[in-house]
Amino acid sequence: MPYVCAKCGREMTAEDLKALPGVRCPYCGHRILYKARPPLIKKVKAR
Amino acid sequence: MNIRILEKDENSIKFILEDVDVAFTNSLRRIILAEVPTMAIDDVIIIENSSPLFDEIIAHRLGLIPLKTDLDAYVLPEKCECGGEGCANCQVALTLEVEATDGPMTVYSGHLKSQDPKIVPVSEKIPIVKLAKGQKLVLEAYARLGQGKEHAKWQPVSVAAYKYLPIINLDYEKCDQCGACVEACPREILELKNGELVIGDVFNCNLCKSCEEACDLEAIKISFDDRTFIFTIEGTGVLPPERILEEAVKILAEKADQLIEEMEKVKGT
Repeated sequence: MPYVCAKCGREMTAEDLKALPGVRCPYCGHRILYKARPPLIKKVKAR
Repeated sequence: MNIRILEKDENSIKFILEDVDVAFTNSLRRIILAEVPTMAIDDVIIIENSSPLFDEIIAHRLGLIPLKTDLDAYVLPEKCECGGEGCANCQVALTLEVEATDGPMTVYSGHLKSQDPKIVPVSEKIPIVKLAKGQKLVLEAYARLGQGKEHAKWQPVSVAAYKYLPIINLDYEKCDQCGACVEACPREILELKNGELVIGDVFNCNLCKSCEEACDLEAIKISFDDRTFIFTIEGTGVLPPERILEEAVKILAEKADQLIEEMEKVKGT
Protein backbone atom coordinates (compact mmCIF):
# COMPACT_ATOMS: atom_id res chain seq x y z
CA MET A 1 0.00 0.00 0.00
CA PRO A 2 2.55 2.60 -1.13
CA TYR A 3 0.72 5.93 -0.82
CA VAL A 4 -1.39 7.65 1.84
CA CYS A 5 -3.40 10.86 1.42
CA ALA A 6 -2.44 13.63 3.85
CA LYS A 7 -6.07 14.78 4.29
CA CYS A 8 -8.44 11.84 4.14
CA GLY A 9 -5.85 9.20 5.12
CA ARG A 10 -6.99 6.75 2.41
CA GLU A 11 -4.39 4.36 1.03
CA MET A 12 -3.75 3.87 -2.67
CA THR A 13 -1.27 2.19 -5.00
CA ALA A 14 0.87 3.72 -7.71
CA GLU A 15 -1.65 2.39 -10.22
CA ASP A 16 -4.63 4.13 -8.52
CA LEU A 17 -2.78 7.43 -8.80
CA LYS A 18 -2.61 7.28 -12.59
CA ALA A 19 -6.39 7.82 -12.70
CA LEU A 20 -6.05 11.62 -12.51
CA PRO A 21 -3.41 13.75 -14.27
CA GLY A 22 -0.89 15.24 -11.84
CA VAL A 23 -0.52 14.32 -8.19
CA ARG A 24 -4.00 14.13 -6.65
CA CYS A 25 -5.78 11.91 -4.16
CA PRO A 26 -8.40 10.00 -6.23
CA TYR A 27 -10.83 10.14 -3.25
CA CYS A 28 -10.68 13.72 -2.01
CA GLY A 29 -8.54 15.52 -4.59
CA HIS A 30 -5.96 16.70 -2.04
CA ARG A 31 -2.55 17.17 -3.59
CA ILE A 32 -0.24 16.10 -0.79
CA LEU A 33 0.48 12.38 -0.52
CA TYR A 34 2.83 10.45 1.77
CA LYS A 35 4.76 7.45 0.59
CA ALA A 36 4.13 4.70 3.11
CA ARG A 37 6.94 2.60 4.56
CA PRO A 38 7.18 -0.70 2.64
CA PRO A 39 6.40 -3.82 4.69
CA LEU A 40 9.90 -5.24 4.41
CA ILE A 41 11.97 -6.57 7.29
CA LYS A 42 15.24 -4.84 8.05
CA LYS A 43 18.26 -6.31 9.77
CA VAL A 44 20.34 -3.67 11.53
CA LYS A 45 23.60 -3.84 13.45
CA ALA A 46 23.27 -2.31 16.91
CA ARG A 47 26.38 -0.15 16.58
CA MET B 1 51.32 -9.94 45.83
CA ASN B 2 48.50 -9.17 48.20
CA ILE B 3 44.93 -7.91 48.01
CA ARG B 4 43.02 -6.12 50.75
CA ILE B 5 39.43 -5.14 50.07
CA LEU B 6 38.58 -1.63 51.26
CA GLU B 7 34.98 -1.18 50.14
CA LYS B 8 32.59 -3.51 48.40
CA ASP B 9 28.98 -3.25 47.38
CA GLU B 10 26.68 -4.64 44.74
CA ASN B 11 28.29 -2.94 41.79
CA SER B 12 31.72 -1.75 42.88
CA ILE B 13 34.87 -2.77 44.72
CA LYS B 14 37.81 -0.76 45.95
CA PHE B 15 40.86 -2.72 47.01
CA ILE B 16 44.54 -2.34 47.79
CA LEU B 17 46.92 -4.23 45.59
CA GLU B 18 50.32 -4.74 47.26
CA ASP B 19 53.69 -5.79 45.97
CA VAL B 20 52.99 -5.55 42.26
CA ASP B 21 54.50 -3.28 39.66
CA VAL B 22 52.55 -0.65 37.77
CA ALA B 23 52.77 -2.64 34.52
CA PHE B 24 50.78 -5.45 36.09
CA THR B 25 48.21 -3.10 37.58
CA ASN B 26 47.79 -1.27 34.31
CA SER B 27 47.46 -4.52 32.39
CA LEU B 28 44.60 -5.48 34.68
CA ARG B 29 42.94 -2.13 34.05
CA ARG B 30 43.31 -2.43 30.28
CA ILE B 31 41.94 -5.97 30.23
CA ILE B 32 38.95 -5.04 32.39
CA LEU B 33 38.05 -2.27 29.95
CA ALA B 34 38.70 -4.03 26.67
CA GLU B 35 38.70 -7.79 27.01
CA VAL B 36 36.33 -9.04 29.71
CA PRO B 37 33.35 -10.36 27.73
CA THR B 38 29.86 -9.00 28.30
CA MET B 39 26.41 -9.56 26.79
CA ALA B 40 24.90 -6.87 24.59
CA ILE B 41 22.45 -6.69 21.69
CA ASP B 42 24.27 -6.75 18.37
CA ASP B 43 21.70 -7.62 15.68
CA VAL B 44 18.21 -6.17 15.46
CA ILE B 45 15.52 -7.32 13.04
CA ILE B 46 12.96 -4.55 12.67
CA ILE B 47 9.55 -5.85 11.70
CA GLU B 48 7.51 -2.72 12.28
CA ASN B 49 8.55 0.77 13.32
CA SER B 50 6.20 3.73 13.11
CA SER B 51 8.03 5.50 15.93
CA PRO B 52 9.62 8.94 15.48
CA LEU B 53 13.11 7.39 15.52
CA PHE B 54 14.95 5.74 12.64
CA ASP B 55 15.45 1.97 12.80
CA GLU B 56 19.20 2.42 13.15
CA ILE B 57 18.87 4.84 16.07
CA ILE B 58 16.64 2.42 17.94
CA ALA B 59 19.05 -0.43 17.21
CA HIS B 60 21.95 1.68 18.49
CA ARG B 61 20.06 2.43 21.71
CA LEU B 62 19.20 -1.23 22.18
CA GLY B 63 22.88 -2.11 21.81
CA LEU B 64 23.78 0.26 24.62
CA ILE B 65 21.38 -1.29 27.14
CA PRO B 66 23.43 -3.15 29.79
CA LEU B 67 22.38 -6.81 29.91
CA LYS B 68 23.02 -9.11 32.85
CA THR B 69 25.66 -11.55 31.68
CA ASP B 70 26.17 -15.29 32.29
CA LEU B 71 29.75 -16.07 31.34
CA ASP B 72 29.42 -19.76 32.18
CA ALA B 73 26.52 -20.48 29.82
CA TYR B 74 27.71 -18.65 26.72
CA VAL B 75 30.85 -18.28 24.63
CA LEU B 76 32.28 -15.60 22.41
CA PRO B 77 30.90 -16.13 18.88
CA GLU B 78 34.45 -16.43 17.48
CA LYS B 79 35.03 -19.42 19.72
CA CYS B 80 31.64 -21.05 19.24
CA GLU B 81 31.19 -24.42 17.54
CA CYS B 82 28.67 -22.94 15.15
CA GLY B 83 31.35 -20.69 13.76
CA GLY B 84 29.66 -17.55 14.98
CA GLU B 85 26.51 -17.95 12.90
CA GLY B 86 24.34 -17.85 15.96
CA CYS B 87 23.28 -20.88 17.95
CA ALA B 88 21.91 -21.37 21.44
CA ASN B 89 25.45 -21.30 22.78
CA CYS B 90 26.49 -17.88 21.61
CA GLN B 91 23.26 -15.98 21.13
CA VAL B 92 20.17 -14.86 23.07
CA ALA B 93 17.00 -13.54 21.45
CA LEU B 94 15.06 -10.66 22.98
CA THR B 95 11.77 -9.46 21.54
CA LEU B 96 9.98 -6.18 21.73
CA GLU B 97 6.37 -5.66 20.68
CA VAL B 98 4.72 -2.46 21.82
CA GLU B 99 1.85 -0.38 20.47
CA ALA B 100 0.64 2.92 21.91
CA THR B 101 -3.04 1.99 21.81
CA ASP B 102 -4.38 4.34 24.49
CA GLY B 103 -2.31 7.42 23.95
CA PRO B 104 1.33 8.52 24.12
CA MET B 105 3.65 6.17 25.96
CA THR B 106 7.33 5.46 26.48
CA VAL B 107 8.92 2.17 25.49
CA TYR B 108 11.28 1.03 28.25
CA SER B 109 14.00 -1.61 28.49
CA GLY B 110 11.53 -3.46 30.70
CA HIS B 111 9.35 -4.12 27.65
CA LEU B 112 12.03 -6.41 26.22
CA LYS B 113 11.25 -10.13 26.58
CA SER B 114 14.23 -12.44 26.73
CA GLN B 115 14.44 -16.14 25.81
CA ASP B 116 16.86 -16.59 28.69
CA PRO B 117 15.54 -15.20 31.97
CA LYS B 118 19.11 -14.72 33.14
CA ILE B 119 20.03 -12.44 30.24
CA VAL B 120 17.86 -9.39 30.88
CA PRO B 121 18.47 -5.65 31.07
CA VAL B 122 20.15 -4.55 34.28
CA SER B 123 17.42 -1.93 34.67
CA GLU B 124 13.83 -1.98 33.39
CA LYS B 125 13.56 1.78 33.47
CA ILE B 126 15.79 2.70 30.55
CA PRO B 127 13.70 4.63 27.99
CA ILE B 128 14.13 3.44 24.40
CA VAL B 129 11.67 5.57 22.43
CA LYS B 130 8.44 7.53 22.95
CA LEU B 131 5.37 6.61 20.93
CA ALA B 132 2.35 8.70 20.05
CA LYS B 133 -1.10 7.12 19.86
CA GLY B 134 -1.21 4.54 17.12
CA GLN B 135 2.55 4.17 16.72
CA LYS B 136 3.99 0.70 16.95
CA LEU B 137 7.37 -0.97 17.41
CA VAL B 138 7.96 -4.66 16.72
CA LEU B 139 11.43 -6.13 16.64
CA GLU B 140 13.66 -9.11 17.41
CA ALA B 141 17.03 -8.39 18.95
CA TYR B 142 19.91 -10.82 19.26
CA ALA B 143 22.43 -10.39 22.04
CA ARG B 144 25.86 -11.91 21.98
CA LEU B 145 29.03 -11.86 24.03
CA GLY B 146 31.60 -9.32 22.98
CA GLN B 147 34.56 -7.32 24.22
CA GLY B 148 35.00 -3.63 24.93
CA LYS B 149 37.74 -3.43 22.33
CA GLU B 150 35.19 -4.12 19.60
CA HIS B 151 32.51 -1.69 20.80
CA ALA B 152 32.06 0.29 24.00
CA LYS B 153 28.67 -1.33 24.61
CA TRP B 154 30.59 -4.42 25.68
CA GLN B 155 32.57 -2.62 28.36
CA PRO B 156 31.64 -4.18 31.73
CA VAL B 157 32.56 -1.16 33.86
CA SER B 158 31.92 2.54 34.16
CA VAL B 159 35.14 2.94 36.18
CA ALA B 160 38.35 0.91 36.28
CA ALA B 161 41.06 3.07 37.77
CA TYR B 162 44.01 2.91 40.14
CA LYS B 163 46.35 5.27 41.95
CA TYR B 164 49.34 4.89 44.21
CA LEU B 165 48.68 4.47 47.92
CA PRO B 166 49.78 7.81 49.44
CA ILE B 167 52.18 7.93 52.38
CA ILE B 168 51.73 11.04 54.53
CA ASN B 169 54.71 11.54 56.80
CA LEU B 170 54.33 13.99 59.68
CA ASP B 171 57.35 15.01 61.72
CA TYR B 172 55.61 15.87 65.02
CA GLU B 173 58.73 17.53 66.38
CA LYS B 174 59.04 19.98 63.52
CA CYS B 175 55.32 20.75 63.33
CA ASP B 176 54.18 23.95 65.06
CA GLN B 177 50.46 23.29 64.50
CA CYS B 178 50.07 26.43 62.40
CA GLY B 179 47.37 24.76 60.30
CA ALA B 180 48.69 26.02 56.95
CA CYS B 181 48.65 22.51 55.55
CA VAL B 182 45.07 21.95 56.78
CA GLU B 183 43.95 24.98 54.76
CA ALA B 184 45.94 23.95 51.71
CA CYS B 185 44.65 20.40 51.39
CA PRO B 186 42.03 20.28 48.58
CA ARG B 187 40.64 17.01 49.90
CA GLU B 188 40.38 18.18 53.53
CA ILE B 189 42.35 15.23 54.81
CA LEU B 190 44.20 17.10 57.56
CA GLU B 191 42.61 18.43 60.71
CA LEU B 192 43.76 20.35 63.77
CA LYS B 193 42.21 18.61 66.78
CA ASN B 194 43.01 19.78 70.30
CA GLY B 195 46.10 21.61 69.09
CA GLU B 196 47.43 18.52 67.31
CA LEU B 197 47.60 17.75 63.63
CA VAL B 198 45.50 14.70 62.78
CA ILE B 199 45.76 12.83 59.49
CA GLY B 200 42.32 11.71 58.31
CA ASP B 201 41.52 9.55 55.31
CA VAL B 202 44.87 8.81 53.66
CA PHE B 203 43.11 6.94 50.88
CA ASN B 204 41.54 10.17 49.69
CA CYS B 205 44.86 11.95 49.19
CA ASN B 206 45.54 12.81 45.54
CA LEU B 207 49.28 13.35 46.02
CA CYS B 208 49.08 17.02 45.07
CA LYS B 209 51.60 18.00 47.81
CA SER B 210 49.81 21.29 48.48
CA CYS B 211 50.32 20.60 52.17
CA GLU B 212 54.07 20.16 51.66
CA GLU B 213 54.24 23.47 49.82
CA ALA B 214 52.20 25.24 52.48
CA CYS B 215 54.50 24.13 55.29
CA ASP B 216 57.50 26.41 55.95
CA LEU B 217 59.04 23.98 58.42
CA GLU B 218 59.20 20.88 56.21
CA ALA B 219 57.21 19.01 58.83
CA ILE B 220 54.96 17.16 56.37
CA LYS B 221 56.17 14.99 53.50
CA ILE B 222 54.09 13.21 50.88
CA SER B 223 55.40 10.14 49.13
CA PHE B 224 54.18 6.83 47.77
CA ASP B 225 55.37 3.31 47.29
CA ASP B 226 55.48 2.51 43.59
CA ARG B 227 54.40 -1.06 44.24
CA THR B 228 51.20 -0.42 46.19
CA PHE B 229 47.93 0.65 44.55
CA ILE B 230 44.34 1.56 45.36
CA PHE B 231 42.23 0.02 42.60
CA THR B 232 38.56 0.89 42.01
CA ILE B 233 36.19 -1.10 39.83
CA GLU B 234 32.66 0.18 39.32
CA GLY B 235 30.60 -2.19 37.19
CA THR B 236 27.46 -1.40 35.20
CA GLY B 237 25.58 -4.26 36.80
CA VAL B 238 26.22 -6.73 33.96
CA LEU B 239 28.61 -8.75 36.08
CA PRO B 240 29.50 -8.72 39.79
CA PRO B 241 32.65 -6.62 40.22
CA GLU B 242 34.60 -9.51 41.78
CA ARG B 243 33.79 -11.61 38.72
CA ILE B 244 35.04 -8.86 36.43
CA LEU B 245 38.37 -8.88 38.25
CA GLU B 246 38.50 -12.67 38.22
CA GLU B 247 37.97 -12.85 34.47
CA ALA B 248 40.52 -10.12 33.84
CA VAL B 249 43.10 -12.07 35.82
CA LYS B 250 42.29 -15.25 33.88
CA ILE B 251 42.71 -13.42 30.58
CA LEU B 252 46.02 -11.93 31.70
CA ALA B 253 47.27 -15.40 32.64
CA GLU B 254 46.21 -16.73 29.25
CA LYS B 255 48.11 -13.97 27.50
CA ALA B 256 51.21 -14.72 29.54
CA ASP B 257 50.96 -18.41 28.59
CA GLN B 258 50.57 -17.48 24.93
CA LEU B 259 53.70 -15.37 25.13
CA ILE B 260 55.71 -18.23 26.61
CA GLU B 261 54.40 -20.54 23.90
CA GLU B 262 55.43 -18.17 21.15
CA MET B 263 58.84 -17.65 22.69
CA GLU B 264 59.40 -21.40 22.84
CA LYS B 265 58.70 -21.54 19.12
CA VAL B 266 61.29 -18.86 18.44
CA LYS B 267 63.86 -20.55 20.63
CA GLY B 268 63.97 -23.48 18.23
CA THR B 269 65.16 -21.39 15.27
